[in-house]
Amino acid sequence: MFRKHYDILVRVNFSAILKKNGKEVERREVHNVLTDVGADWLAHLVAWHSLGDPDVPVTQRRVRWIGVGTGTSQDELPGVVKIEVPTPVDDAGNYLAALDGSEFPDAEVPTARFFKEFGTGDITTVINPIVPITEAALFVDVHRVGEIGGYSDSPWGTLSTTLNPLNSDNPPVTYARFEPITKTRDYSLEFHWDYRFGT
Amino acid sequence: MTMPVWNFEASLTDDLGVVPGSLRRGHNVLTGGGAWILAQLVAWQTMPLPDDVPRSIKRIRWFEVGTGMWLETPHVETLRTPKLISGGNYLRLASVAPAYPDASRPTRASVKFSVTYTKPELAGDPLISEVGLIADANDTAGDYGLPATALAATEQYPDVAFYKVIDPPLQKLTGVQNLIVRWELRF
Repeated sequence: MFRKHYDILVRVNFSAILKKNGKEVERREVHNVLTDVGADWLAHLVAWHSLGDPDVPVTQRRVRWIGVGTGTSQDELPGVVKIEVPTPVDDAGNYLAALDGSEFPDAEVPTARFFKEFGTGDITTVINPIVPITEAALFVDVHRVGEIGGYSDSPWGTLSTTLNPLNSDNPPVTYARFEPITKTRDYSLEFHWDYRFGT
Repeated sequence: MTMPVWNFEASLTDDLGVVPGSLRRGHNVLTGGGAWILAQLVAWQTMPLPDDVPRSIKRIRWFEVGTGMWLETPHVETLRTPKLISGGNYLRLASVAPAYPDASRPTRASVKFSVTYTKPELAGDPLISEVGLIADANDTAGDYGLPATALAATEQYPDVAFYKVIDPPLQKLTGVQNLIVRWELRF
């Protein structure tokens, strides 16, 4: 309770919705954790590196990727640095999937919502048709293929995509553990992730 | 090491150092407007495209001081009585690059901003009683295709993202004292 007095609170809520033919079959709704990596990212995101025309930010990274896993022993704590047992999200072996988008669901509450729907053939691949998902995480990144000059992303890296979706050990900014939700190729799986700011 | 509750500090200095009794410490309030700025800052507007486009590029850029006072609630939108600095300006650029505190501290990530109002500034020996941090961006030469959003330095009532009352107020003697404000945002 004491922390509430002096920290910027980032309340992060999460829901996973399993659907069959578009109809909800199962749902998980949990609070989850802003990791230390995420807190560090936010502290860098709010600041300018230099002021001019244009101003140059310390980092450009924003919430961009989602990953899932099947681990059962990693606690949901700020010190989490990776998904415990990551699972590929497609047949190409990528562990990160780009979010479908972001929205602000409530005009009265300062909340950013990130969402992603995995189709029937996502996560549950041909070689891995049944996946009991217990972990999910969000990742920040910047993807600027067409960059010519412009902003750098120091000190996090250079321009363009800086996380490799083929890597399984990328550091998440938020992490959730929940009761298994078993996805097969009959189901789609939708994630909603809310960042709500306050004091 | 314990982490202090306060994240805001203001003091007066003169040729001898910190003016005795002038140190004020406390904790700020994140306004509703400030919370919206953060919510928009973390998100991409478009992601699968070759070039990601952000929802907002506004970041902490300005300090503003005043001689009025609101209750420290998230409903604060502007300073109550902004004080002219000099030359018709109400806003002062925040320090860059911002300081990141000692990583060994038992805290999560934080970022520090500071500003010094020099001796000739804030004329008339004002009683400074409120301070605000303001987010903004100057991108007229940028490549995001966003309109320039820089506030004119002469704009008197921009939305504040973080607000703090200085109580009791600090009377800055023009030409004699500096006013130093330090602010730490902790996540």
